[in-house]
Amino acid sequence: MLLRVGSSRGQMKIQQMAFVLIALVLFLVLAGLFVLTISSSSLRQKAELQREAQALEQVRKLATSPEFSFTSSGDCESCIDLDKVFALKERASYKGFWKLPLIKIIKTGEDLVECSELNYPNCGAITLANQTQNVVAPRGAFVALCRHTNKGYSCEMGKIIAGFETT
Amino acid sequence: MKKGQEEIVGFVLIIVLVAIALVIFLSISFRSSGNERLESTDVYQFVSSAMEISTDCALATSEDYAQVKDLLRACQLGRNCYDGKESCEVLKIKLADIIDRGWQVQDQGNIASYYWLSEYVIGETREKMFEVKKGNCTGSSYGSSYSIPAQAGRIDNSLVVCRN
Repeated sequence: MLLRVGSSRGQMKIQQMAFVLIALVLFLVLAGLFVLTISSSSLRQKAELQREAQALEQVRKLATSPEFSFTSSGDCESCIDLDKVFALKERASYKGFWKLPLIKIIKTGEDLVECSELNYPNCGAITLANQTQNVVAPRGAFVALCRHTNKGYSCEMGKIIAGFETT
Repeated sequence: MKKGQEEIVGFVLIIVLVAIALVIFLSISFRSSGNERLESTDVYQFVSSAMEISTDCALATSEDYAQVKDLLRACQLGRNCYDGKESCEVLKIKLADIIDRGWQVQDQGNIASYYWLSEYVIGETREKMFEVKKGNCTGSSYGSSYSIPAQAGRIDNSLVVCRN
């Protein structure tokens, strides 16, 4: 009888310990889930910022292509030759060349009057591609828009805007 | 039975204390102050492009109009423009204009304020050249910096843009 009482006491203690351990594990799992939820939400924000930075870099790389780059100012990676771009606008052979649905170069802070032979260079925008369907939100990257003048060259702040096709 | 109840109470107390400590720890680690500045590719591209922008200040001759990067170096040396204007003053006005146009800073607009700082750095010494600012930053801010070589050191140019 003493043995029976002793063993049931032991069993009771084992059961108590088991409940304590289960409760502890449940608590740690809940705490872990809580921490993961918070850290993954900040991860999403960081991933979004990373994607945005990559898209901006892709747009900026257009400026370094030979069709856009301004070479008279030395090693300026962010300089676009506005005269060259305006000449390309009218060339049929460059229609669809960049395989982007939207490419636009604008002067910041000015009215976006489209450039033509009548108003160049006193205009605000040069559009090389303007497809509006199946285009994700366009990205713009700051560049320096440079032109040759009779006194050398002159640059002003602008943006190159590119739209990408939806997947 | 009483002993068992005591043990349960003690266990619950420990759980509650650990939970409170965890919540305090998490709230401190994930608190983000309103003035936390995020590094921005957009701002970096703006500052690097701004270096190439032409200004109204001619340096060597009456037609040798300087770019912002040349004017920064002239400002650091204390040189004046060909027409006698102070290069630093011309630079501040030009930068304010470029930033206003580029970021369309308005009172009710998306961008609330900005702060541009140019410093001459040589070795461990930083010498403030000038600053250009507009508005008060109360929301989240984005910034970046771009350096150009100047004499024996460099000129660090940083821009912080603040959104509403």
